[in-house]
Amino acid sequence: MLLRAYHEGGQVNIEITDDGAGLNLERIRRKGIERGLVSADQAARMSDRDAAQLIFAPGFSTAEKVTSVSGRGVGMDVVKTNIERISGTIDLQSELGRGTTVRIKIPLTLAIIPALIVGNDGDRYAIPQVSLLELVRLEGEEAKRGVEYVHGAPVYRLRGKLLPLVYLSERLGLRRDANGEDVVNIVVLQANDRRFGLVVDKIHDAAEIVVKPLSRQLKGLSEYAGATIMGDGAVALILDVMGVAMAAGLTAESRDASAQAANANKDAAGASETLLVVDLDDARRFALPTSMVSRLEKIAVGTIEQTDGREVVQYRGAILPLIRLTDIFGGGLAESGDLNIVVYADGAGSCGFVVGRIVDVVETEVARRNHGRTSENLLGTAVIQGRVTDIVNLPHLAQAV
Amino acid sequence: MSATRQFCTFSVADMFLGIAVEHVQEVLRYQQMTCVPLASTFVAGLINLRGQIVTALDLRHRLHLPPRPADQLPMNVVLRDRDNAVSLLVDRIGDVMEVDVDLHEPVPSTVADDVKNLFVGAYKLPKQLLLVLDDERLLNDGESAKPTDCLLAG
Repeated sequence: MLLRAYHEGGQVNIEITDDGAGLNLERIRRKGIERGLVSADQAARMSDRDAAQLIFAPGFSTAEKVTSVSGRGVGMDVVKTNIERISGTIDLQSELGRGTTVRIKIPLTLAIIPALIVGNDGDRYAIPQVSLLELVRLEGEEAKRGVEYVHGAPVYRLRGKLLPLVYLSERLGLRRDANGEDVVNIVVLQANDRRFGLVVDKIHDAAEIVVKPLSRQLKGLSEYAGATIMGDGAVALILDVMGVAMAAGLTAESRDASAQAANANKDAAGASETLLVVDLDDARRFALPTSMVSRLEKIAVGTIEQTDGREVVQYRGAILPLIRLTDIFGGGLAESGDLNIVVYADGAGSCGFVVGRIVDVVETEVARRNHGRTSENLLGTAVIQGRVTDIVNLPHLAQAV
Repeated sequence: MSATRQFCTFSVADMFLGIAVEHVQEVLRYQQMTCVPLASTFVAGLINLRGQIVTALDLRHRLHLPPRPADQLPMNVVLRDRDNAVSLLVDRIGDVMEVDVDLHEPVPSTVADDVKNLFVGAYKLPKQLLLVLDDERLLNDGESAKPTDCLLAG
């Protein structure tokens, strides 16, 4: 006997095939006539498939002997009734002397969702794919340098935009896999307007999972959306992406910088704006309106080339002129292996401003005050997070290039 | 001939306990559990019971008894809870006992105050005292204990 079960077209298909004697359709037809279910004419005209269906009639049996478990004509009737009761269908195919196949189709009443299975310290968790944006894997050097800290909070620079990171192990109060230091797996998730990266130990497969609700003793845990049974029979918890984001304290201010920049443009006339705060060195702190910032990039010092007395770097298939803010405002940068570049672009072209440390992106009410000496290089000065910060006039400086 | 009641009995540490038999779905030996991080201490984990996900509650924790020795595996007393099933982790499974209601007594004062309300009463049996659990109270979200330390559930 062969048993096949699969999920297709929103239905569960179950096929049971045997290599037995098969249905004797002649006898079935004759019995059908005998029992008055069909006339002789109908029986002759019936297709084999319809003739086979006769066995489902109540009390129908071609058995010559009744045993304790069969022969009374009750079994198949009960089977068909029960399957039809859950809106399913049952079908027979048979060949005399070769065998019979029974096909049952039952519509799905279960919630099935596509999910990504991830691992933390040997346990598995499922993340609904509807919240999944992309996967990022950092290895070796990238794994060490890729995670930056803004006010103690881990972030990752995903294509220039800062992505807040949440460690699954921390959220669950668990250990991390000790070997995880060489590799950082980031699952980029989005729930409503909260975009963040969930750091996990391992990324397993994508899988379609049946969502089962948690019992009432566990319903209050906002980090879980339910549970599922994996292919090997083990139970895995399904993460609630919104619940994890809220529990991690990701608030509206963590929305990605582009949304903030968009808002900043809307607020152009208003008193509040979004600023990218950078240090040139320990003494001087500068702010750049994010509405003027195209991207943030990191480049290796070695990639800077000289042309016509200017520094440039090859960037996205074009040549990007560089302007060191230290040349304009004074101060010096510790020349490490990498430089932070704030890319500015307008109708005339792009240029990259070399800054020191990227401190933060803040949304703040800025009172622009000009000093006695007005410098066209600055839009004003403000106190941001307790420090005097000059606001750089990027368009003006870019003109010099 | 007085009325009798039937109880499914089991032991936790040195306590001999029972639950009305009509509330018990089945009893099982130890089942592999999946830990639920962040759940309260008495949630031992989740069990796959013939395709149904069953929450396992550790009675030792719930009754504020010391934890089971590491090499001792718990048994499962599975209770029906509305449309779910919840399993109580116990040390040993006893028999189904038919008990004379005349033997009913209030819960003795030796039972600690903070767990007294989990019992509906006691029955004085020839050799021991049977404490009957209030399964409804047991299954309700009890005190919020601190989140569980997910030690490998085996």
